Amino acid sequence: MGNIFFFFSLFFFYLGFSNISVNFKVFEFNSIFSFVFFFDWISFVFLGVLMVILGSVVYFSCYYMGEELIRGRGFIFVVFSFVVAMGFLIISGDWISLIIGWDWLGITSFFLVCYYNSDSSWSGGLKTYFTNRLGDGIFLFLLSNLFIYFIFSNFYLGTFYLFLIILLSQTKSAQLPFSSWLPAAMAAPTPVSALVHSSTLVTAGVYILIRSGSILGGFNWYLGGVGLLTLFVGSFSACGSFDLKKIVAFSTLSHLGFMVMSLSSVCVDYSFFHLIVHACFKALLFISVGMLILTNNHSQDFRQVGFSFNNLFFIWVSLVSLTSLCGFPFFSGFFSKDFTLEMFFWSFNPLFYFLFFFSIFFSVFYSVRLINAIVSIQWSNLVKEYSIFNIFYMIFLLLSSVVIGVVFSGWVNNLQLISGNFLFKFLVYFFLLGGVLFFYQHFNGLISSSIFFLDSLGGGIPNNLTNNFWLFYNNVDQGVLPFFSERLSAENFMSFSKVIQVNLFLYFWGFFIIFYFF
Amino acid sequence: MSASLKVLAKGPCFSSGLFKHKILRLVSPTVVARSASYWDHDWQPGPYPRTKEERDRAAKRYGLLPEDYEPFPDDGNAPGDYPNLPAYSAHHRDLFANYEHRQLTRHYGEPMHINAELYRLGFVDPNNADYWHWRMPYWKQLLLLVTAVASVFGLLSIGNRYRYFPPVMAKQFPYDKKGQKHYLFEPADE
Repeated sequence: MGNIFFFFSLFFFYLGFSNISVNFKVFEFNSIFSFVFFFDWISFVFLGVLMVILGSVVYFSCYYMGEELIRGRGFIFVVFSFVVAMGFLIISGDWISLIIGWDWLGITSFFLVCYYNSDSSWSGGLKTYFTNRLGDGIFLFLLSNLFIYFIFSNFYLGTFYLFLIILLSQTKSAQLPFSSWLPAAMAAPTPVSALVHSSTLVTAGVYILIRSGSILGGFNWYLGGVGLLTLFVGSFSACGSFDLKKIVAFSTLSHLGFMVMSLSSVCVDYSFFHLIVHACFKALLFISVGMLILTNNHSQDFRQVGFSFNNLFFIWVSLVSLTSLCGFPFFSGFFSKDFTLEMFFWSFNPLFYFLFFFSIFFSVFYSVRLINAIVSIQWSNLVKEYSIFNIFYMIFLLLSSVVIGVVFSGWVNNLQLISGNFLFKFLVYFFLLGGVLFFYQHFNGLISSSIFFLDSLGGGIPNNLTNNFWLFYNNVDQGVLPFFSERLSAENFMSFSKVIQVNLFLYFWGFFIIFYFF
Repeated sequence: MSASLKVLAKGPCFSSGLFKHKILRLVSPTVVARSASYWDHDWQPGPYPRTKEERDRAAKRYGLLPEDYEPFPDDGNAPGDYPNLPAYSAHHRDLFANYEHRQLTRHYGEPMHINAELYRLGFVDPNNADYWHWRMPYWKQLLLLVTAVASVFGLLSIGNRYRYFPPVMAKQFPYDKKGQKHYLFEPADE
């Protein structure tokens, strides 16, 4: 059933290798209001990767959620709707088609997060949707002013509008002021996280910045700072989390910060390269974490997981995706991360490198922590009922997380190899090794998992919004830290109503401006 | 009397409450409502226990020891013989024990608080006020966030003044640029 997506991906890669660039105008109204699709090698390569991940997720969701016979049909429908929305966004060449894809993504991701009817799903979905809505409000404001310009032109839009475009991508891609929704959205089922929160929804913001890369010149300092902060905060918070999916969510957050940081360098294609590579190994990591959760009877507690050595394939898959994540030499992650780092070697900013190397250190720390949990002998559980048809897609993702770096690195434009000092190049590997060794020290209470208090400031939505006592649910991925979740009090309730008011205000304000200008 | 009031008059709760409450219930109108949930008459609490035997029977019915059983005060609003249990959030129970009803952190036959749906996992915690002040105040959280972000940006901008540029050769062009001689990339003569 999902095989057709792998064939689509081959088709898209074939088109992507041919150097075409097509602007396809769907319709035009009054010669200013137009709706354009733009087919470029970037679009086709991204669509190809999206199809591979979609095929894998379809098979994985059949295995993971196979017990949900009745609600599963609606689930697959919403997943397909989400992917169509993402495809729409990828091939859009104009603001109008972009906002259709953007809003469609927000709505379908809300439904996907809310699939399990539990309190944490509902609050997680609301946090996701409200943060996306904030971006939509900004988008509507931009649309009312900028609808006559193509998004991929070299037309300089002015500092204010450029800053709003960057803010827009920050809300979608969970950069620092708006990153509280990504850990909360882990209340979604694991196949949804593998598709949505690894490669598609969160990279939409980075994607529009890549497309408008030629006009981002004046904001290099801002992109670099925000990306660096997100990178650091994500990798730091992952070291303090005890929930498997939250660790992977924070890892995604740090890689998104890395992508935005790489946009601040001269070459924008490296950001796209990392986007593709990250999609592959992160989807694979989510799938292997999903297998771990299955062995643990849907508990996400990281302290009781472990694959038995009879499941050597799953151990191998997790290890490969984690080493690719760290940027271990000559896996895919190495090519994207180290080439980007070399672009920053032209000039050194001291604090920049301090935070960047510590982020690499922390990323290795949480990866080794995960490996330690996966290969533990104390908690070894067996995945028994599977066949080759349930796991063959993992081989595709595995190959891509190893090989795609080599293949694409020779093909990304503007490849500049910089041979510098021995120390600068190998400093990264000293930190890799240090991260591995540091793990085996013992520290108590050093690291917390709240992302600079953003989870309590930016998402003050309580978990108790349902009032149906008789809602029972079967296969729920239960969060493991209910003791630290939000609970009802009068202040929380008031802040929640204020959140609704602010978002409604933005939404209607945007509409008002559109109608005013039309 | 109408049929509904006859049922009210015969029901066990009619015996409870002060005289004025009984009169009020006779003259108040009956409102008919349909509910989507299911309810059984077996689940109706019994009448307010007056004698010791009634108390022991009620305690046994709700799964409590007789010395632990305490009904609500008899002021006309008591729900019959339903026990007045101490209210606590489900988070205070062991979350990882093997409950028979996992989502309710409850075994079969355990006494349920009358507002049990309010004290579920992720819902109201009646003892919140005891430890809500342990949290860091919101203004302090915001201040720390802004300080962290602003200090990172500030230090980055300071670091921009002291950038280090690794020594690199001048870029080579395959043609003569501005009078500088570069390698011309021409084949050697013979």
